[in-house]
Amino acid sequence: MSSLHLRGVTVTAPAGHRLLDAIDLDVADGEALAVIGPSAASRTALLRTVVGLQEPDEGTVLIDEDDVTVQPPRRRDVAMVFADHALHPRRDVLDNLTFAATLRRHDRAELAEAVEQVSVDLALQDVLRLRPHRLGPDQQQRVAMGRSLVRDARLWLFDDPFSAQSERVRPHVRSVVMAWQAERGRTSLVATSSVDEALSLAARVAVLHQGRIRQVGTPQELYDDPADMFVAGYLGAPPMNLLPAFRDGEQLVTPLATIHVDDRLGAAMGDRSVVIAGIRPEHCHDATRGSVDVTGGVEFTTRVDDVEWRARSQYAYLGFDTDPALAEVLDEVEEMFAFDLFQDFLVAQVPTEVAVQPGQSIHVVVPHDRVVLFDPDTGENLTRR
Amino acid sequence: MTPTIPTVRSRLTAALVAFVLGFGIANLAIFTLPGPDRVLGVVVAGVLILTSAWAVLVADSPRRISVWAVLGAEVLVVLVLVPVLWLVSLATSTGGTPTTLWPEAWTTDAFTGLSGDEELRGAAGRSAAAAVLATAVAALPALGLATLLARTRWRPRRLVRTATIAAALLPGVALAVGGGDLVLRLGGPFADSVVLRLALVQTAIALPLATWVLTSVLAGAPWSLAEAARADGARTRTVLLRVLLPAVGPALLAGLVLTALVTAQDLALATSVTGPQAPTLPMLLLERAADPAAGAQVAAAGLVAAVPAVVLLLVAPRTVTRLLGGSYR
Repeated sequence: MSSLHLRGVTVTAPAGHRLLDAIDLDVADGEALAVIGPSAASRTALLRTVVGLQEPDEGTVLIDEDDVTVQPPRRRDVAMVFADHALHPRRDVLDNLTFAATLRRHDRAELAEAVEQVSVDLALQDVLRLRPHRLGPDQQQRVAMGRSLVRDARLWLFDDPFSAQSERVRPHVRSVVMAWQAERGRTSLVATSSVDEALSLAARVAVLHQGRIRQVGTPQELYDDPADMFVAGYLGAPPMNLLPAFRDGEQLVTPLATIHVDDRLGAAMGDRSVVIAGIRPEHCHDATRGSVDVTGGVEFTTRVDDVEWRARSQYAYLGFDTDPALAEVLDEVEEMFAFDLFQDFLVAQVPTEVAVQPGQSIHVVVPHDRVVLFDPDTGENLTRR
Repeated sequence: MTPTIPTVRSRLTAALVAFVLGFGIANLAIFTLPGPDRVLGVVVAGVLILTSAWAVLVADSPRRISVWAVLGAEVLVVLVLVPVLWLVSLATSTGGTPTTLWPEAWTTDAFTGLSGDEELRGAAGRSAAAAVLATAVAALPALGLATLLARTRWRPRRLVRTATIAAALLPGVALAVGGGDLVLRLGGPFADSVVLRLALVQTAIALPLATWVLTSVLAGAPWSLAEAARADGARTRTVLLRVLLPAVGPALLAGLVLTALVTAQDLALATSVTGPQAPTLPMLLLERAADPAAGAQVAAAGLVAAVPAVVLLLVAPRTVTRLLGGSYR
């Protein structure tokens, strides 16, 4: 069992841009940490650096307090599941499963037992004698996972390990792999582009974007208390509504509502005149159709532009116009994060008991303490607890 | 890419072209060609006229097949078959120059005579030895250059690529004028051995060609697999022997055989460093081709010399096509 520590790890791409920028990350012994981020977030670069395929320009990689920064992969004893599966085309599934473990001279009896178990758990027992080209992408991916699982490695790294699995079997495969991880207490790093997957499979999640760790925390912490606008706008489906807001005396004026600046918001704003207000869709309560306590809440009435029905709730899309001067600020923020954060509508998640129709009027109430403010210059969460 | 459905007009035009070609060949065959060639001509004409009829039938069908492509393939087959048939006819003729494409009488005397022809065997051996040696000498630098072209982002690699193509396109005669003289001035083993002189000068052919084909081999190598093996704990030697070599070995071998086959066909460079006493196979065949009485033997030797290339194409058509930069589906 091992722990992993990255200290100021910086990796530059051959083209000159930073793949990883001063990464500090700690993964405890036996912990499974999920790493999420949009495409080009450098998730793969992070894993390649840990396994030893990419040497950092700066910083150190520590496994069990051993500095392995310049050690070749074979000395690190780290197993990695590659996003493109990397199966040997001329070897059958059984040989692929045992290839890495054989290189490490694992105990044959233990290996045979592990292979048998993994082939049952990952539904590979019927294809053990087939070559990879005879398998579907989902089976190839499970073979790639199995190859790492049978290894008695210090760390397990997974690069988008469930992407080829169908929606139906993905949760099962995920639970099988995480059960192996938990049973054996293997320290694991699971990189994925699926936010839901990351939030469901690991106790802690690291959000990576533009080569930087934006935040590390439990799914609840990331969701309720995002460190910055990127984390707020990236997590959640639909993500947090982000609206431009300017201060007018004791009021904060947004395109849809006016928010009273109380002590909490006042302290957060400081002397800023423009901020970005964040409101989660599920905190937008429909006071028109249900009994909602509106005391001290942020209230506004507007027209429903569109409605999207889901099994347990419906999303009401409430359009608004943004002041051109504020729109420029939003453009600058999006440029800074290289990510689409802002929409010209607010999404309210309302119960399905009463159907909301497009064109109807809706009275929305948001609990005042659920309003989050962000600095438009840095993206930082000003109301972070 | 999904092919589009050709228009009715395009198919009907192709049908008309096929019919005109077929009609023309049929008339030519019936009125001008003798004996068996007439039958051959009528068969070709029949295929073209049938293609024309088929094209009319499928003109407005939603099938994606192109009549022009079918017609082109048929013309290509005829253009390839005619010289091959002529060569076979020459090689199997019972005496003198044959008058028909399809042999009127068969004999294998020319083929059986090849094994007893010391001069021919010597020339073939010289060609093969020099080509293999030149390829072997070129293989290592070619591998280095191919690595540079396929695996690095070093800026001057474009210059290297251009130089490689330029060297491959340079007329053999131009190389022979300068290169031959230089090699003839070399002393030591080069003064005594024709094969060494040949191999040295033919490296000028083998090196750019080997670089070209090895670049294709390396570009198609499973590097991600090699990285995965490294991550799994494999040493460089293990990655090379157990991952890369099994994956690219066949293509590597096919590429080097292809290089040797093309190098062995050189005439201009070989002429510049050898004499009439020690010719290469192409030199000897060219010299003998001037004598009409030796036509059958020259044709038989030409057919035998073509066997390795045909075998390579039959054994590894995909690899050869890919190595030469084309696609094969």
